[in-house]
Amino acid sequence: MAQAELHTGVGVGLRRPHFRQLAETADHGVPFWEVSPENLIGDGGRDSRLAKIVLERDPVITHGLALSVGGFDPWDREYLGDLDRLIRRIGSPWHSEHLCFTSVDGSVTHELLPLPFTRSAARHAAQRAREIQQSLSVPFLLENITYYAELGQAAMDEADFISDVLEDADCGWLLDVNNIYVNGLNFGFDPKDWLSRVPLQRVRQMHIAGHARFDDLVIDTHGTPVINPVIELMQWTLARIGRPVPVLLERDNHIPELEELLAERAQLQRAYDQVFLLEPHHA
Amino acid sequence: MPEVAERELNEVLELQRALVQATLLPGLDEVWPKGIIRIPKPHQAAWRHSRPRLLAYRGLVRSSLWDPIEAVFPVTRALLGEAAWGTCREAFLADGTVQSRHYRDIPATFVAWLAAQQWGAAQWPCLLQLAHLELVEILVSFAPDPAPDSSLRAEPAFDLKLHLHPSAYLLRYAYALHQATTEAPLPTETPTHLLAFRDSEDRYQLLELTPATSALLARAQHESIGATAQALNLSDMPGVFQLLAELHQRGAILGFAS
Repeated sequence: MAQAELHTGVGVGLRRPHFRQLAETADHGVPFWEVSPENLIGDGGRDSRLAKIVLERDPVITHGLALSVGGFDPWDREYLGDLDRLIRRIGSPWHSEHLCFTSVDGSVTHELLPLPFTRSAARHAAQRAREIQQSLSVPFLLENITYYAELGQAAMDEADFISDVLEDADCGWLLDVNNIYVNGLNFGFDPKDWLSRVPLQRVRQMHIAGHARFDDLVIDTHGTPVINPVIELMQWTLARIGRPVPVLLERDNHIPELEELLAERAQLQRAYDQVFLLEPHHA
Repeated sequence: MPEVAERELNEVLELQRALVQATLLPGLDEVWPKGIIRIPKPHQAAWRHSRPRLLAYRGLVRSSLWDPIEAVFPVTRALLGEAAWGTCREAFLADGTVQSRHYRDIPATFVAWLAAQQWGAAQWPCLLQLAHLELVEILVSFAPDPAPDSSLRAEPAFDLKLHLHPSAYLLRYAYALHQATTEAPLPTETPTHLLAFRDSEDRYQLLELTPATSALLARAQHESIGATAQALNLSDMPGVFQLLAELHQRGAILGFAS
């Protein structure tokens, strides 16, 4: 299942509450799943066995949560070895991580924390991305995050920062369209202007998700259905990219019944197909 | 120029340290007093400007680290009561103890921290053991599955040793922890032997054992069942074999081998 061309259309994040149902049926219409290796490596028991059935049967892409690409903590070489073995075993065509830091001085926060938008931080993150790439046998992608505040005095804006890192690291981009939309709301910029300034030719995959407003801040919760403006932004971005890169629907909180999630995926698939004037499929 | 690059890179690290401190240190929900968090000089004005928004990370990080503990330790929480539970949370977070990228490891990190710090041990002598038993349910659930082993037999015999399932934990506590509940979290002080394991349906099981059965299960992993029974003065060998066969059937014992 390692061929990248198998991973097109709109996939879904594989989550624990759906393991059993999905292990029992291959007739779900989802073209690919995304999984987080941190939640699989070293696991045993029922859920692990059920997940394995799905991972060995269906196309899968891996997406990491805690490598701390922009951080300073030394690499855990044993974990990187386990990660690459998992990627090869389940045939992920690439592996992605967030452009952020998650730990400092060995203390892991389990949160995606923003990097300062400085040349030093960009060079450092790019160097670390290259190091990860060297340890993996598949292409490595970086994902843009939501950020709720700038960390320190910025020397550039987020679009320039991401462009710098991607170019310097010479790696692919997992473009999270909801994150751009949320950042646009929180920092008052137009997502389309933003997207016009970044190297879209590097995009290999996209993420889409729901968000929620808390007081004066919009948070990337992954806990609600995707709203229409974000779907439209996905379509606009896909058209601009000009090729059908896979899009992944993320849902990590208030996870609905599988049927409801699959219905949302089908709606997104129709929107995806409209961009390329494709016959609807996987619906 | 290399000095400038090194200084600027060090500032990136200092900013990262500052943000993590600002999320984890206690008492910083409203204001961040001067001097508590060190901000590199070129970034101090921007930091002050961003401070209200940076507070959002305080809630996010603390939830990420503490939610799994809230979920796994309800009886421990009930034992401490809300005020002490909150104090415990602040002390744990302030130490920045979580070092694993695996979310499932956070509860184990909490118990290791309780043990290392002896937090609350004077006031609640049963605290660490109670938290440990609550953790065991998670450890059992996520324990690796055993590799197939054709040398293992299904029936016990005098000259065979037993192999516990990798998910099984043979436990000995000074308190009757298995009787503690969120309604009655203070256990009685009674030496207690327990066997926790994942049954053949993958459900968590917790059995109370007699001291003799506990000793049998512990010792017969290292010497033959016959020799163990003799050493423990267990004369009812049919009863011993029946017990071991039942535990094998239920999934606690993986099998028997020489």
